[in-house]
Amino acid sequence: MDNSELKQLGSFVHRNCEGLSRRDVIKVGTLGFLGLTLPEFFALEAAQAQSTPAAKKPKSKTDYSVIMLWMAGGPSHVDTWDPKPNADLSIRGPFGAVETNVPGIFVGEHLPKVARQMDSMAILRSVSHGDGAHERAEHFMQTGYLPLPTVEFPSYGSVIANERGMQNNLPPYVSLLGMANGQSAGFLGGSLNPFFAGNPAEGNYKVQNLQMPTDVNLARLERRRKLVQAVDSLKGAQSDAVRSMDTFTNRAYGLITSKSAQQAFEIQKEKVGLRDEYGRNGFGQSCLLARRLVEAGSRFVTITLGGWDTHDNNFGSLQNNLLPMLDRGMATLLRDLKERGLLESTLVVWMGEFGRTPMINKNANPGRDHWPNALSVVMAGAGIKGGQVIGKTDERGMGPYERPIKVQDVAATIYHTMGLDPNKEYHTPSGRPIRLADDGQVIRELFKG
Amino acid sequence: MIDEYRMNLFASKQHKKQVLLALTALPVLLGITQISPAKAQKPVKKNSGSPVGATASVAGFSVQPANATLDGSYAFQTLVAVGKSIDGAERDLSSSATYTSSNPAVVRVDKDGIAYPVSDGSADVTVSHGGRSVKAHLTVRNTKTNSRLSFETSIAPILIKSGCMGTACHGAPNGQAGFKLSFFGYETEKDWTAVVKGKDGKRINLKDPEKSLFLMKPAATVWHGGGRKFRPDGPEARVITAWIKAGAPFVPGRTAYNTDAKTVLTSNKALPAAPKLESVYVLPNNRTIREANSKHQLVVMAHYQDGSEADVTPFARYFCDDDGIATVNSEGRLLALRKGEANVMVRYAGKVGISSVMVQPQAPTASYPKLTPNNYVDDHIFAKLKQMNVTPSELTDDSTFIRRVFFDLIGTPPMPSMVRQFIEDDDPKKRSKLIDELLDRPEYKDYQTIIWADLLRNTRILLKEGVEPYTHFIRESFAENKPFDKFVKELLTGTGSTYQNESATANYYRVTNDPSELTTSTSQIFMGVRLECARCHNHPFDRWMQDDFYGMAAFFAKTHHRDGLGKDEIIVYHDERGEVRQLRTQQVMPPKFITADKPLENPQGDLRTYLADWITSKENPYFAKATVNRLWKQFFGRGIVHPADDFRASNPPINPPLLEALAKDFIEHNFDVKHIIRVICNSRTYQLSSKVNSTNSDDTKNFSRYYIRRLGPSQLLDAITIATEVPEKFPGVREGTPAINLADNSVPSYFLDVFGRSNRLQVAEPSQQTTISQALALINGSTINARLSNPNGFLAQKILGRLGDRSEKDILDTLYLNILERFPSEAERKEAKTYLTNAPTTKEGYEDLAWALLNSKEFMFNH
Repeated sequence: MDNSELKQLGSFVHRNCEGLSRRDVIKVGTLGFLGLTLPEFFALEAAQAQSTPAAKKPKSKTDYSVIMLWMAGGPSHVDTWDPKPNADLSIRGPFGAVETNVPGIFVGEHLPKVARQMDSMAILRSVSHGDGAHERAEHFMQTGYLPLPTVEFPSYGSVIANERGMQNNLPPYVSLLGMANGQSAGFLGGSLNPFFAGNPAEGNYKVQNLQMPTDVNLARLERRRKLVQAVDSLKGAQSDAVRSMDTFTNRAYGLITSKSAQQAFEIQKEKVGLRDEYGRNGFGQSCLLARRLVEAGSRFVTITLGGWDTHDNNFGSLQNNLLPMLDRGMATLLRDLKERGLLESTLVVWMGEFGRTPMINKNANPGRDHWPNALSVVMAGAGIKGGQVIGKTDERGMGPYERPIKVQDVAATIYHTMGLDPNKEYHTPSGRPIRLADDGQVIRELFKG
Repeated sequence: MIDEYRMNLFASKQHKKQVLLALTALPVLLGITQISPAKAQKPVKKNSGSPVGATASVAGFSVQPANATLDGSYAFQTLVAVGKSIDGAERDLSSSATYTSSNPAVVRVDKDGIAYPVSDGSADVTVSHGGRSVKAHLTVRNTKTNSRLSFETSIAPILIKSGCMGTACHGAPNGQAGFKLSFFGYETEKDWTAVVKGKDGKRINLKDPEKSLFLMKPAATVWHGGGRKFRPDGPEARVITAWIKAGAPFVPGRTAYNTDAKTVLTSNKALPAAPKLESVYVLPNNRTIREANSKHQLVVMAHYQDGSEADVTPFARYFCDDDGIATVNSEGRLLALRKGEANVMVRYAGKVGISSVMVQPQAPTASYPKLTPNNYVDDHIFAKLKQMNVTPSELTDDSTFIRRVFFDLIGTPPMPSMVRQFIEDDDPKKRSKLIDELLDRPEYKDYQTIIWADLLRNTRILLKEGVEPYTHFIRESFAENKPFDKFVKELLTGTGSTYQNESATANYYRVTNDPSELTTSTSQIFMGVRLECARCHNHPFDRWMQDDFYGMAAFFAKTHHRDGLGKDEIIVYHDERGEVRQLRTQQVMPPKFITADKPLENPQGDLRTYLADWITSKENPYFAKATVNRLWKQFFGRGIVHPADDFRASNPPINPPLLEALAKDFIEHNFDVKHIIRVICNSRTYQLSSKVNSTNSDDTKNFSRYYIRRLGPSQLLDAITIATEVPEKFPGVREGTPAINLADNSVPSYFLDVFGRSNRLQVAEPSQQTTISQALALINGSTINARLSNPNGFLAQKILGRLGDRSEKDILDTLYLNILERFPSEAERKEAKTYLTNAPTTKEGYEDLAWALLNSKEFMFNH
């Protein structure tokens, strides 16, 4: 029986054991804080805190994290990472290009700060996929699969959360600022959906339901927790659903009562100067919070920045709002990660669902329309060799000209960077085998140095 | 050499042989051997498993199969000797039986019961065991011509079984070591070409077949990167050798080397066509096994369209769905492990067969309690449980029953006053009466509307203003208890504006107008058949071919959209344009029902009416079953076929007669949904307690108790608002509207989303998954906490505000009744009293108590 056969056998078994949930539950159960009381919990936590200083994590790939900068709506490649200064005005538009700190590499002129981090970044300029509908393309880019009516594919974040599990009481997969299609757990099940932690730029930022109500303190919470145990007639009932609920309830208590986990979300603790440098806006503060979260133990943080669907007023929106925000937040994130020694274990990915038409449209306030035939993806950190551009679009930015890259290749690369085999198979509840990345090739140039 | 193969196959049977030989010495050879489940995991020792039930006697001794044909010199037939005890349990006696051929010049048989052809003719094999004997009749033919060999039916299955076509080997997108085969043999012609023409024809050596790389590589008589795939003297090698000798034909007459290769082997004589495989089946089809740790040889028979059959046991692939109960090895030998049920799925050349086993160490005992069925549901459930020696749980109490049936039938909990009334009512028919009342309540249609809106993907994101008419259609259909076939027919033929009530079902085609997507969702929703796999290739676990998929898609090809006058309004219409092409062949597909052999003859007008009529007809093999199964799931949390929309040969129902009976009843009552619900709810099975007894704690699929499950998103939210008497305010919706009335799930609600409300962008029911966000919402969220501190709520008004004028007992009764819909036990009163006494303040004490009850699993689950 070869490997794929074994996997099929596995699927047949899983299907009849309530999909993947049972295995997940077992996995969760082994994390080991089931049934601890809060004082025991604190003791354990204190012991953990002493033994492993948070910042100096071991650098095995299993400890790597991802920060996904998701540009919802589809950002123009020409106005960001693939400027065409020599093209006709009807294509290049009013924006110029700026040389980065890597000689010979230019990016859009409104990204001057990120340009100075170019030596850490690799730009993939020849990505394309051809699906111009937002929902489908969002799904494609964030799962590596085009959506099907009967299979919901899991996002990269859900897969990585599934593979790497939880550490330090923190949700493994967190989403910040906004949400988009294609970020969910799909057939892996809702327990691997992202934990939505809102917009950290909001005054008095709090994660929904993370803090106890004002009239409840830890002592009262502990009393309540014990009381539930005492009054619950279904305690210990023979049911996977009961066990699963107990597990997640314990996780929630862990998150509520763990000082370090709570602190990871306390962006207010950061120095005012650094917060300013990231930018006092949703994106900038999300970048900062994302850094705090991966530092503390989250595996995958997605920041969804919307507003890129610029059919109208492309240049105004980009110049006055989106690009300065992106430039500041992303540049500071890369610098900050690097200075903390976190960049080598953190993959930063920038992308959106598609590029935009190189030809500027004829709207009253001109914009660019959907263009899935060419888009740029940026990657940095986690072993990616910076200072390089891979692939090339033609002189008008219409499509790949050299080294075409498929979405599946991007997917394979993300998994590979995280130390996962892109050919690893999962099985849908109906038993269909699904590889992590569908026939994608790892973009090897990214790792050559 | 095949003998050696067989010996090898049974080498590990030595152990069993000893056991059986030891048993032979015992007076009651075929007595019931009882092995307790505790011992079941250990290997059977020679001296263990002493027969008890000394009175049991043998009901039968037989051989499987009793008739067989050995077609071609390479053929073989596995014969299995079966002993059957009076209680219906079976044992595999093959390894201790003896076999004799009546004519060794025609049929040779080895000591393991494998028969081989010698020359054309016929002979009997006598199988003897313990003084009994029985005959198998064998016919031998084509030993000289081997005329039935073809690549597709004879060779490809061996390659698949040996793993050659997997993605890790030659089935990889770029092949392996210069040899590429299609993934799981979906393109046999290309594969054949690669075998016979690839590598300049060096893979095949016609002059000296045994020197062919195609044989030597997998047999590893020369170096092979993939290692040894089969033995050089095994049945695979015999078939391949015979095939190469016959000219390596793709089909008879079309051989490897034609004239230009100067080695034409095949004469132009008219040869029979390659046999077309129709199905495979497994012997035994089902078996009750008493002995844990016993071994059972499965025999897989291929059945061809011309009526002929062949033993393909070594070439089939085996998958057991519960390897805690039984395992099966790659040679088809099943090992029973412990008490329970398991299904072995067998795959051969794209066809699927199944063998179901029940391992039940104890025969039904005389002490099995006499159970009183309420209706036919119980007859079937109890019959199965008795067979398994499992006693169902007790009947559940009244307070649990009323809460349960409210949630399951109308999606919302009873008001506390109703619970009190119901408990006090002493009418023996009160449960039946309650069921009838619930079926007439308006929430019945509201709840069905939520269920169906999820399946039909009724969301504003897809349908815009079409949501209202679509909701109206679903709601009215269930309100009037429209016959279900009519409901489905109206959906499938939807035409006109998506914004008008009279053409609301046009929205079925607004959700998607893609013929492939419609094929997938329509077959899944109304027939419980998942065709998705057949979109890209023939279905690997089922009978469905790509032609079936695109034949069904063709019914949807002539349905189109145009813009209406309203904003985002769509008009669905039908005309003569439109076609569907099969993905692989790129042929235009005529409309064909998935189970039909031939396309529809001369269809006129709107093709969808043909499809709608066929799907909803009383003869459709899936429609009634899939529908009653879905209804069953609504009440039990899992289907008789599970998952409820995954009807497959390889996924048999847990209780086939029950499914048959429900489907028959549904058809006889003209697809009356309420009738089936009434039958289900009135059964004793539905009214069983969820508490386990000493016999049924392992049971998770035979409905010997009520399986508890978390309330759905809207059920849970409504339960909280009713218990706390503080309504929920949804944005843009009239205050006080319960969640069950939100037909449009785009109404924002963090709570409903977190608890798994479907986004309806896929055909999906609410998620039953648990998440950390759910736990946080319950522990810290305002949904519970703010309601407990609301001055107008239940806690403030009826508990804290009444402490002075009501007894503590009365207060606790009210608290429990409002939240858990039952009265507290004495122990619970005590527990509560202790907590209240020790609490910093009385207010805090009651708040915590209410909070704890709302956070209990008893509250969050239907049980």
